[in-house]
Parts: sequence; structure tokens; C-alpha cells
Amino acid sequence: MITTISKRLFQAVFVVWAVGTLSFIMMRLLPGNMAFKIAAGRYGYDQVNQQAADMVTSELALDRSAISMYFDWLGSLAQLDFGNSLVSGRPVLHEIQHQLGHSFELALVATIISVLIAVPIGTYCGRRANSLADHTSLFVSAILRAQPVFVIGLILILVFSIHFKLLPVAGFGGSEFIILPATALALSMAALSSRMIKNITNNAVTSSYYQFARLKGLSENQAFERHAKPNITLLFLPFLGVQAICLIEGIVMIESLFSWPGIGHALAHAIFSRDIPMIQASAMVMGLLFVAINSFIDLAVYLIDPRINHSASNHDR
Amino acid sequence: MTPLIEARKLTIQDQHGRKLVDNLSFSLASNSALTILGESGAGKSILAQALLGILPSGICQTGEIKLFGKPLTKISQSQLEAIWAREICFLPQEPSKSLNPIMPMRRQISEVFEFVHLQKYRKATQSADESLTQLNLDGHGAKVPSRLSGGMSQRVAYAAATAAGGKVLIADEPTKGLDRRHAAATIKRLAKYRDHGGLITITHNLQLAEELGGTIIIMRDGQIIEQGDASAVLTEPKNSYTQQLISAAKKKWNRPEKLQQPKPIITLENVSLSRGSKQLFHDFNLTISEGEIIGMVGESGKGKSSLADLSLKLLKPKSGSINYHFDYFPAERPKVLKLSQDPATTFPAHHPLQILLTDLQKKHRFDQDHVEVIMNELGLSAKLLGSKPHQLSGGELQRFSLLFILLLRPRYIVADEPTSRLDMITAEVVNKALLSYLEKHRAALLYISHDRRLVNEISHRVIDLDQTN
Amino acid sequence: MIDRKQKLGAGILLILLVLVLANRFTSNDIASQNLDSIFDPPSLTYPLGTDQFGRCNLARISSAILTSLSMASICVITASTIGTLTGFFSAWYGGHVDRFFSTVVNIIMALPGLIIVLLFSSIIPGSFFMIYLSISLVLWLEYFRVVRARVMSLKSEPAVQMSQLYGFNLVYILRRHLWPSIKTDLATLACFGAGNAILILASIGFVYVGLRPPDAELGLMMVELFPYYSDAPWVLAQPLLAIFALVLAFNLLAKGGSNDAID
Repeated sequence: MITTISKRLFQAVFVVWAVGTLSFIMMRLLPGNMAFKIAAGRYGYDQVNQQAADMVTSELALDRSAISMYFDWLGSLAQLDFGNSLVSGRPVLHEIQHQLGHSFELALVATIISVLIAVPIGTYCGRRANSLADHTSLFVSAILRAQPVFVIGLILILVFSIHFKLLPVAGFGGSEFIILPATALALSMAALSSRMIKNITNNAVTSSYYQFARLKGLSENQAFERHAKPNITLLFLPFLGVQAICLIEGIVMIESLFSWPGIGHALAHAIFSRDIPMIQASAMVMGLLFVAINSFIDLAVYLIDPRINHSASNHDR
Repeated sequence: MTPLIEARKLTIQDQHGRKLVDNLSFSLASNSALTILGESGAGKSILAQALLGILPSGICQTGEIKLFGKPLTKISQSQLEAIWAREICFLPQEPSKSLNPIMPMRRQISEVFEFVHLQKYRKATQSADESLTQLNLDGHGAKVPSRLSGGMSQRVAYAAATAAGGKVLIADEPTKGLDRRHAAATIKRLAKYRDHGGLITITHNLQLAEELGGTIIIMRDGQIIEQGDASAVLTEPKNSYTQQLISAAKKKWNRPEKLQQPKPIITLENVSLSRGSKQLFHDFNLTISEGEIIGMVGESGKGKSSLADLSLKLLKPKSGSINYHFDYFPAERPKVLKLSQDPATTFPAHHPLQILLTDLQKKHRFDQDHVEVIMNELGLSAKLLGSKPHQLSGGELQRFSLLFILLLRPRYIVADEPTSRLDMITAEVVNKALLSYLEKHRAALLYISHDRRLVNEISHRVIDLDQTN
Repeated sequence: MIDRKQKLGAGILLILLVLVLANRFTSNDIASQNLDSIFDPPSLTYPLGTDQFGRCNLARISSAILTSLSMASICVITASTIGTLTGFFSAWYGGHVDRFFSTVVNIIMALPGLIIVLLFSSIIPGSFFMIYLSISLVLWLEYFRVVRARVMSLKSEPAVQMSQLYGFNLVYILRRHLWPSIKTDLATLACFGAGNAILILASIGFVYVGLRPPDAELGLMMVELFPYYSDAPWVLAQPLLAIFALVLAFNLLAKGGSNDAID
């Protein structure tokens, strides 16, 4: 367990370093005067003039080598100093906080919908492999998986907003605004997870331990409750990491499509407008979130799997 | 009195029309035993599934099965479920796969008391602990299957399978992979069913059949070879296959003479090896001389195979040294080779055997005549060379492994439980060819086995890893 | 060997290639505008009609498909070569080599693939090379992991030990043991990888971070044509269908296809 934790910590440190470094390279490659850019980062574009730029130059000693400036850059990152947005001029951290809340809301609703779709379909088809239902679910899943998540969103907009005019095209506000983006995200996640659950379920109910449970006197339902459900849960846990990738990537695309004011939209928008402090902060937050999700999965597996020795002392109890 | 279980003209075919069981008839009376004896293979286990009404889809069955006088076809699914465990218990082959890998042992037994006997959780747990105690498994109740040995899993599976209280037991290869001591205990438990209910045992173990008595059916490739009272069949077999089988099982081996003043060819000096945190060997010394046969016994996990791999230089010791003192012999020729336990995994999986033979012939140049002579001796037909490993039986593959080894004329051979997965007749062929090669070529052998009797008979000396530490 | 799904996948891919080739017989290019003929229906001059600037749809869609396919192929070739080699060396030699590559993989996996591609491609906006580099960086991980795991288990297999005892060298073991057992996996990974590369390329195009106009790229075309949905839904449908067909074709081609080779 300790190695797992240190591995995750190591990943977190890497995320900060890698995103910071890439942002620094981006900054260096931006056309224009470095001092102006940093001044803009601090005070916003409106407040920048030669005087501010000179101040930045003398304060940060911008005439130094790129290497020492690089370490300064990483240093301020370590102190969680993300600077100001080049576009709005407001502190990046402040903006991110708001966006993160909106993204969480979207992610939560999408995850709930995808669980509601994938779990019943997956377990149903797993218990009846090769039935009509199973083939239908495979077909639908293959169709959904053959498109990017934003196309699913696009089609939902075309059908429900433009054609039937039932729901708003995009934006943020009342609860009707979250339905389409969350559904699009959920569909793309469920397309994958429903098949995964189906496979795991099918493996469990055709296993020799499941058959043995029946032959030692348990009814179909008792056997499923006791010898399939726990095993399916445990085997599905590691797959949540793949779902997390699906979710985070989906958030970037879906938020951009629906103009949902979350962190994914912020990242795409910042890249488009070359707002480097924003790029840096939003990418870093998403990377850290991903590492955090994976750490939770590790922890859950550790706590739930009885095959893992929790301490060496009770080894031969 | 109605027989407990009856089969009439039972024929079972797989998807490809291959007959797994052909025209089998028997009836099991109360308080008696029926043993179905045959080579390892698909046919016998499928028979158990047929009797329990759980044939996999695609398998086709003709003839009639009656449970307690009622045809299986007239028994509804719910009636069948009421028969499982409550009337007929089933002890599956390979219990380690039949136990839920993530459920503690105690729960896998107690749930039967809870759901079949409708005991309260606490009472059911108590009942389960009592069964564990009876089977000498005190204190193992909280463990999951992966932390138990094969023998322990087998006992837990027995407790779980019989907890519901059925009077009839169907046991599929109940002694497979068990050492002599555990096998004897298992036979004792099975005998209880013979005396107070009914017992059907499916096995390839002749000794088990002998001890259980009752009726015996000898099967080969799905065909019934011989059927009748166990003592009659086993003392006066009519069929030649049965005769071979019995003589193979009772075979007494003559070990080759020890050489006068043999030269040492392999020395292990102060060798230490650990697996994980467990120390397997510490400052271990061994000298292997030409023409010498060394037997090695010991429980699983004691490092038998590791020691063998050390002597082959497939493993590096943590400390100490392994030295070869071979005479100058055709250069490049492999001097040490190994005959493994599971022949299915010792060939390149994706090529026909002919490819490997050609590759070897190109590299090491041996006579084609020689190939034919040895194939003859091992009873291998040349047309099998065109098959890929998965198309051949374990017995055929193991004989091919031996063929390649003998062709290369090594000075030292490790045989790691070479016959544990073979039927007795093939096992005899393999052992015989191995021993005659050693005698002819003054090669040394390290023979690992669970079968202490065999090891004592063939080897000049025995390393018992249970005694060493 | 080749099942029905794979045949279907190959068929779809073939049709798309014919579409790309068909464009060679028209004289239109992707950028030449003709503002007199906006959203023209299909005709002899413009077999798939025209878009909002009167540009030839056939020229644009085939150029976009070609871009996607070339990007997918070079990414898959790069990723599979690097991933297979590193995976093999890691497993075969173990020790420091293995620790080094495993650490590299572990740290790259700390970021979701799309984020990595977004960051790289924003260093030099619109650069085909940066997109190629970053997609390959994401894709090679899978090869590394699969090959490493396979070689690890193969290395300890009796069959490989036997070959070593027989006196065969590493080349022999590669040819007779390793290659036959990983080639199907590699083909499957290549197909899924190609599908993935196409999805990523379209995704970053869709958020205006990928290739730049007037280049024709499927994601970019969708976002450009979306506002004209009510004027010409059939023009918007073209890139949607194209990406669907491309990804579906590769998923079907993967052994076991859209079947359940997810894990």
C-alpha cells in the first residue's frame, strides 16, 4: 500500500512539474516581449505599460538566463501562485474555484446517469449473454463508441433543442441546462462501462465457483447476491480509472460544446486565447483530480479485496 | 428398491460430434459405490455434469438418466434444484477453482447452513466452524482460497458440498493433486457415503477404485472397456487394456546399476536461494555424478522445482556456485535438459511439432533414422508431427518432449513430476524409456515426484526436502 | 482468421479510400472559394455539393479523411515501434531498464491523454508535428504495457526455458515464441489506436486547438458547419458520417472488434 501511495504522490508531483514546464515553454514561445507578458499576467492587459514592464524586468531580473527563470517559475508554482488570467485579469485561482464547482456538478450528474444506464444493462446482459438484449446493447455501444463524445452532444442538441425545441441549446442556469451535456457525457461513459460490466458479470455467473454455489444448495438469487455481486464490484473497481479518463476528457469536450462554465471549457478557451496562466492552472487541476480519483480507487481496492494482507502480522493467524 | 441414480444407453456428444461417453448404462443402488475409472480427459467430467442436469449448451445427450427412479427429462428446474445438495452432493474437480476467491472459507460453508437449513447467521457460523474442526482446519476459517494449500481447499470444498446433507455424493477426481496422506483421508470420507447413502466416483486413480470397491466401470475415449464388480475386474481383468492398466499400476521398477567410480558432473556448492521473504535453501551442497539417479520428494512450496532449475542454471542462486564438469563433448550440444510436469506448456504454442524437430535437427544434426527408432520406442506415430501442441493429448506431448530430449543425448536430465498428469500406461512408457536411456548413455537424472514409492524404487538416493529444513 | 466483423471494417475503410481517390478525378481544391455557389446540391462539378464558402465538399471531406488516416497511421507506427521495443527490453532485461521505463509510463499516465495532446499542441498552435508527437506519446503506453506483460509471462514459461536449454538464441525465441504470441495483440492495439488517434485529432480540431483553417479536418469542419445546420443539414452530416465510419471501421477491424476487447 505504501508503494501505491508513494507512486500516486510521485504522479501528483509530476503533474505539477510537467504542466508547469509545458506552460513555461509556451510562455517563452509566445511572440512579444517577456516583461510585457508577465506584467499582463500580473495586472491584466489594460494596466500594462512600459513602466510596469520595466518594474517586472528589474524585479524578476528578466535579463537572467532561461534556466534560472524556469526555476523561479516552478518556485512560484510550488507556492500555489498561479498569477492572473491574461484575459480577464482576475486571479486564476479565484476563477478556477468557480469553474471547478460547475464541473463537479456536471460530472456528478453525468456519473449518476451513466451508472443508472450501465449497471442494469450490463448485469442483465451478463446474465443472459448472447440474448437479443445482449446483442442490441453491444450494437448500441459500438455505435456510441465510434464517435467522439461531442458528436453525441451535437446530435442531442440537433434533436432535442433545434428540432423539438425541448431544451436549451447551450449555456448555464436552471436545471434544464444540465440535462443535455450530462446525458451526452453519461452515454459515452455507459457505452464503455456497460460492456465491461457485462463481461465481468458473465465471467462471474459462468465461473466454476458460481456453479458450485448452486450445486451446494443456494438458489439462483442467493448465488448471485453472494457469489456474483461482490466479485463484480471488486473486478469493476480498477476499471473506474478508465472511466475517469473518459469523464475528464469528456468534460473538456462537452463543456466547450455546451458553453458550460466549468474547468474543461476554461482549458479549451484558455488554449484558444493563449491565456497561459489559465492553461497552466486548469490543466494542473484536472491532472491532480485524475490522480486523486486513482488514489481513491487504489484505496477502495485495498480496503475491499480480502486477498490483500492488511498487515504482515496476521499472516498466519 | 429403486436405484438412486440410473443411466441407460447414455451417449454424450460434443459440438463436433465427438463421442465423450458412448452407450453407458449403470445403476447405483442404496449404500453402494460406483467408480468410473479412465484416463484424464473431457469425457468423465462431462458425465458428472450430465447426471446433475447441468450439461453446457452445445453438448448433446441421448439415452436416459433417472434420479431416484424419475427420468431427468421429467424433472423440472425447481425440482432439480431441490435435489442438488439436499439429495445429491457434488464434489468438483480442482476445488481451488470452485471456491469463491474473495470469500473467507468459513462463509462458504456457513452460507449453506444459513440458506439450506435456515439457521440464524450466528448458528450457521458455528456449524461451519464445527465442520472445519472436524476436517482439521481449525483457525483457517477467515482465510480466502489463495492462502490455502490444495489439500486444504479440497477439504473446504468437501465441507461446503456436503453441508446441505444429501445422502448421495458424486466426486470428480477427488484425489487429484493430493499426496498419499491426504488421499487416504479423502478415501475414508468417501467411504462413509458408500456405507450410508450412495457414492459415484470419477477418477483415474486405480488405487482409489480398489479401496472403494463396489461396481467399477473402465472407460477409454468414451468407450466402456469393462464393467463389473471391482474385486473381480481388478483381479481378473478380461480386457487387455484393463490388464495393461493394472500391470502399470503394480509395476515394480528395477533401478539401473550404479556406476563404478563415477565422475561428478554437476556440483552445487553452498547454494542459497529465497523466494520472496522465504528462505528455500541455505548453504546447500549437492554433487551429481554420471549415471546417478537422484529422487527428490517434499511438499509443494519446499522448492523442489527451484532446486532443479538451479542445477540447470535456469535460476541464479543468491549466493554459492553451480559448476559443470562435463567432458568435452560435441560442442554446442545441450548437456542438460528438462522434462517438465505440464507438457502442454513446453512447446512453442503456435507451430506444429515438425517445425521444432526441424529447428533442432538443423542446429544439432542428428540422424533421421534415430528419430524414427525413438518414436517407435515411445509409440508415437509420425503423422502426429503435423499437429500443433494444443491438438495433442498430454500423454502424446510428454512423449514428444522425451523424444526431443533423447535425440539430443544430454548428460543430465531433470524430470519434474513427469508423469503426474499422465495415465498410468503412458507413465510407464515414459519412465521406461527414460531409465533405459540413462543406463545406455551413463547420464544422470534428478527425478522429482509426489510418489515416494516410485522414487524409492528407481533412485540411487533420495533428497527429502521435508526432512532437510 | 478474419471474421465477419473484420471484413465489414475492411469494407468500410475501402469505401472511404475510394472516396479519397475519387477526389483525384475532380479538379477542385480544398481552399478555392466560389461565393456564387454556396451550399450547392451535388452536381457533376461538385459531386458532394459545396459548403458555406462555396468550396467543394468532396475535396474537403477527402482531404480531411486523408489527414485523419495519415495522422492515425504515422502515430500508430511510431507508437507501436517504440512501445513494443521498450516493452520488450523492459520485460526481458528487467532491473534498471524496467524500472526506468515503468517510471516514465507511470508518470505519463498521470494525465489523461486528451489533456496531454491539448497542452502539447498549444505550444505550437496548428502544428501537425506537435499533434503527431503528443498522440504518439499517449498511444505508446498501451503497447508498452501489453508487450511488457506478455514478455514477462512468456519469459518464465517452460517453453521458452526449454528453447534456451536446447541452445537456441534470442532471435529464435523472438521468432518462434514471442512474435506468434503477440502479433494478434499488436494488430488489435493498432486498430484501436488508429481509432483513438482519429477521435483525438477531431476532438482538438473541434475546440479550435488542432489544425487551422483553411485546412480541412473533420472536427474543425463540424464546428464550422454547425451554425449552418438549418440551411444545409446534409453538409454537416458529411464530416459526422466520415468520422463515424472511420472509427467504426477501425474498431471492427480490431480482433474481436467492437466485441468486448475493452479491458
